[in-house]
Amino acid sequence: MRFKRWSIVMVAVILIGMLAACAGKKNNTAPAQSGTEASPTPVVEASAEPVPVSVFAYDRTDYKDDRVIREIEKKTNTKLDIQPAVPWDPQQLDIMSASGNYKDIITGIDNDEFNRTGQWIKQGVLAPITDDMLAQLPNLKSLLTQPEFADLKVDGKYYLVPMRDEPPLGSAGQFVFQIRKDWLDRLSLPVPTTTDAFFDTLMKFKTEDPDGNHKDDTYGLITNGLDKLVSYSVGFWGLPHDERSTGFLKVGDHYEYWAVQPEVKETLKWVKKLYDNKLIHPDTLTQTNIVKTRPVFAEGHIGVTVENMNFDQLVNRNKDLGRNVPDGQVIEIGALQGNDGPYGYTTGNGHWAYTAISSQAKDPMAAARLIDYLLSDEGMQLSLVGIEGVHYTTQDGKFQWNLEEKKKDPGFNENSSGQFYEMNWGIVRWSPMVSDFYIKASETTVPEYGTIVRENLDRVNQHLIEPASFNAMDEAWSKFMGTGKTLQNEFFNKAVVGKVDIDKGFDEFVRQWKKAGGEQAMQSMSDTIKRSKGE
Amino acid sequence: MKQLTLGKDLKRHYQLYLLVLPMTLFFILFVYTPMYGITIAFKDYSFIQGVFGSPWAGLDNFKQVFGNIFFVRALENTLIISLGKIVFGFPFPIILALLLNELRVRWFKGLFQNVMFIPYFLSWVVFAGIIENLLNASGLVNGIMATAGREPIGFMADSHWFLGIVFVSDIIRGAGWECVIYLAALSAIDPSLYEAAQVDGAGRWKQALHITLPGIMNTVVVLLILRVGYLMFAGFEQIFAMYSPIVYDSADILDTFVYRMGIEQGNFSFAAAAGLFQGIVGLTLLLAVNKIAKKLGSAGLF
Amino acid sequence: MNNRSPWYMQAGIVASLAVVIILLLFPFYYVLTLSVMPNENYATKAYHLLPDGFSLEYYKLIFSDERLQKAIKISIFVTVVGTVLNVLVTAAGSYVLTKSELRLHRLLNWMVIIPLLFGGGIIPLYMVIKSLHLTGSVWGLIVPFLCNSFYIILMKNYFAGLPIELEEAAYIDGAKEMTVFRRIVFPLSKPILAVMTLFYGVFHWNEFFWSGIIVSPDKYPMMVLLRQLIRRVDTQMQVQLPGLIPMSLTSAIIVVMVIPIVLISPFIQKFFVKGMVLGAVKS
Repeated sequence: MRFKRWSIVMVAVILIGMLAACAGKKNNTAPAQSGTEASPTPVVEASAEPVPVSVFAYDRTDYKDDRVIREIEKKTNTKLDIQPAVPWDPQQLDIMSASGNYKDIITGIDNDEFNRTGQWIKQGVLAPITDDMLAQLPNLKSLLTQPEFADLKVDGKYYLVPMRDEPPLGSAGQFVFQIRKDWLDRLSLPVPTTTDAFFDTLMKFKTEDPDGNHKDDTYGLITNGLDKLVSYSVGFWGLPHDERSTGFLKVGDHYEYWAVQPEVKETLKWVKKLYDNKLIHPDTLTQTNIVKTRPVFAEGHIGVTVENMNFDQLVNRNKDLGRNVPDGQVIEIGALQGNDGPYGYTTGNGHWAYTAISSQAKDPMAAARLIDYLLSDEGMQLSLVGIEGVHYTTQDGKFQWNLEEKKKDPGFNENSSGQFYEMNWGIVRWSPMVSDFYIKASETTVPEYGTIVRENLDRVNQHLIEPASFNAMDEAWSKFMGTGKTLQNEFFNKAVVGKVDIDKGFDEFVRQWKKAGGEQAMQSMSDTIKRSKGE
Repeated sequence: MKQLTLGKDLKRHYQLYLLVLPMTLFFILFVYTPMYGITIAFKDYSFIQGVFGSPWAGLDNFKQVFGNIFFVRALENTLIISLGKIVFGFPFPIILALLLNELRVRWFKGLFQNVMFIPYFLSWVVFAGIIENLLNASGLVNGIMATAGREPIGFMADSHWFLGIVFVSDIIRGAGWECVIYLAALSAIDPSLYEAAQVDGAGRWKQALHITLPGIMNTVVVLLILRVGYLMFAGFEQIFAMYSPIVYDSADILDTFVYRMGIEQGNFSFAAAAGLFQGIVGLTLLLAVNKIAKKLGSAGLF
Repeated sequence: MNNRSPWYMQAGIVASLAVVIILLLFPFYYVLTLSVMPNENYATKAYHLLPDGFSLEYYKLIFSDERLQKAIKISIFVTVVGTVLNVLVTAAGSYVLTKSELRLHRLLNWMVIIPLLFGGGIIPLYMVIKSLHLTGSVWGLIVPFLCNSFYIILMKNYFAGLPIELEEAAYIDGAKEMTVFRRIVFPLSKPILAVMTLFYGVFHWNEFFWSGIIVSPDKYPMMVLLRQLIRRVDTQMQVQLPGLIPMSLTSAIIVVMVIPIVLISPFIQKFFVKGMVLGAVKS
């Protein structure tokens, strides 16, 4: 009977609890928001008291008492509060927005499909980084004033700090063709440079037993979708497309989207030829996640993968391949020439996420100084490899980790961030893979790292084309992107597998695309680009 | 029947009302209070201005949803997949429960009941990953077919195969889970009914037909009504984890459509408008089916 | 029982259920093999029926996180306390829903049914939780998730199927409504209470989305930490982990998540014995 009596007690407890909660609600009607009156005057000299600065960053460990964080605080005279958060869930940002409690520094992923930051700026969530401020912040200034970021200005002011990614500015964007060098060597083939030569090479990969196992088990190419393959290849016929740019180009006196240009037909025909000759690995048709194509490529039966150009990933790709094919080697190749016109991979905007200062920051200048410091060489080294003499030493230019000391700080977490300190990505930049320092540190584990970076970067950047705009965002355009991409992806797939005729189907696709709202959205985006260029 | 006035009713049954009070408070606070969020279906929602601050937009969002060229296809696909899941999937846990009920091999019964809901704990993302690995070009199934000299089939790239995979995987993941509900219903059947039937000389089939099945019929009807109520929701997580543009023709359901057109574009008002439409249709269906069930003599939902 | 079904019928049932059990268990078996496969062997073939190696390195990696011990305790607390409250509130409430003589009967039923199909969305709910000062506390993972319409309907349906005679007899004896519920209905409902315990318990055990938002990081339940780990290896920037197969780590995490539920299920099964309910009443 004891159980039953207890159950009644429990019900009573809940009742009381809920009544209390109810009453509590009435008494606590929304406290007035305060703290938005940020002082416009920058704090001059470092005051004796460290300034508290809070940071919203995805995917952070709980740093607790971490010496690198303490060091950054000392250098910037701040007291950091970095929110450890569930990784990469944009819903957290929405919830933060809804509750109106912004951290001083906000980081977030955004693009022309979502246009979150555009709304932030419009609604006054972000504090502008003024010229006065920039005058005191050399590193931030030199980053923001790069020509690539000119169109980040809104009404003449900077709000967003682009998180620079791995390759140097002006490099190809994200996805590049990567080929099995060992297969080329075995069949005595040169690295293909034209789309026709590429087709011939893949034919030989398929038919001439490049792995020498006397079995007909090799494929030409794999990537994450036939539609994606088309978009990765349009640059060979001069159309600018990359995940890290708008994909707009100048047509006449206005700007248009790449997918409705007639050059797409050439690309489709080429991809169809690859498909018809069974050169494309079947998983390409159904696999939308590039991560899942990796183990398939690592099996060693496929000649080409179209993949992220990130050099750490390239090193890993070679390692994974090496387990199955000891002499296997993958290299990134330059863009293929489709016809006589200009061609190339499309230059990326060099970032895909932003750091910004919220308008609720009590001391925006202190937040800006922190960003500036982390961008500096010293700040970069500190947030990448920790404190010299503690976490690492350099003797005669040779870099050496101090593994025992690294274990003492939570920010060095082998399980989540590999050998580097966790702050090196996702606060003001991604891993700076082309910087001397990063290369030096990486060479402690991969001795040929520097060579790999240089050689592949050179090849990838041989032929480049530029989009009309890197960073423009437009609300009407972003709202159309869902419909536009669905139309586009389905048409590309059907055209390649032969369910629709390419020439006729293309005209119909363009007609439908424009009618479904593409015409107006593209016009709106074109106007936005014009405005951002001051035309 | 004469009803008491509310005041008298409350007084007379105060103990019952006390029992239902925690649940009522919960619904008021955590279910109905947040429902103000539905208004964003009629607004141009900005996540910075919030639900209250966003400007009204009339029926614009509904026009956007219904006017989208992919809406009709998504609606059709949703109905096909939902109905398919009811036709193929719904009877399965019932059959399972009936078989378990007849089973006398104790250890096997115990084993089965202990493991039958394990698949439910694997998320659709994981489940889809397993299915892909089995059915892709180098997977087990195509591997077996290759040894038999057959051409590999692109299961996940074919609209028809895709639907079949959706139905089968839904059964594998959920049948054991739903079966638990029927098992509970089975154990509430009065054993004296069986004894009486045995005295009358009824065989096992007759017992199953005249005692067991009627004994769980209410549960069957309730779950069926709920299924019909969810007709507009064909299983977002499952489809989203398994589909790709090449099978949009048969796989793009309302929820995935809304995800790509609304949520991925930060257009939450679009998603809310679509959700409201799905809810209203669902509630209408649910009430209709409930009425039919009651006409046919079942207790129905309420 | 003297009326046994013929042996061939039993054999038929066993055979068909054996096929089903293989289908049901295969996905989990697959996950299990992936989780113990050493990295190097994974990529050699896309699929293995038998693991071609054995290694617990992914499990070691999972348990190397020193925060996990505390997180497990929090998970257990939230699951146990949350589930007990869930089941009590759901049972009490759904019992009342069966009483059609109440004036508010229809209103109460509508109250439960409407949320099956309509909801205000994540952000409004968060705002309510926040304004009730439940954020930052483990109670914020319990109180806002006290009931679920679907489960209430299941439970109500079960109550509705119980023979009314027992209750009526009690009322004639002069028992109060609450006493009837406590003494007669509640003990008769062990099977459905077991189902509810399973359903709500699994919900709490697996919940990670709200947990990651509502409580502060020092109070994260286990599932949040495990999810973090999965996401970390899945995100593209985590490239510095050579040779780590995301699918294998994910698999090990799933096994860690599922095992406790598997261990508890025999206790739940105890309540599904045929005829136990009314048998218990008579004695």
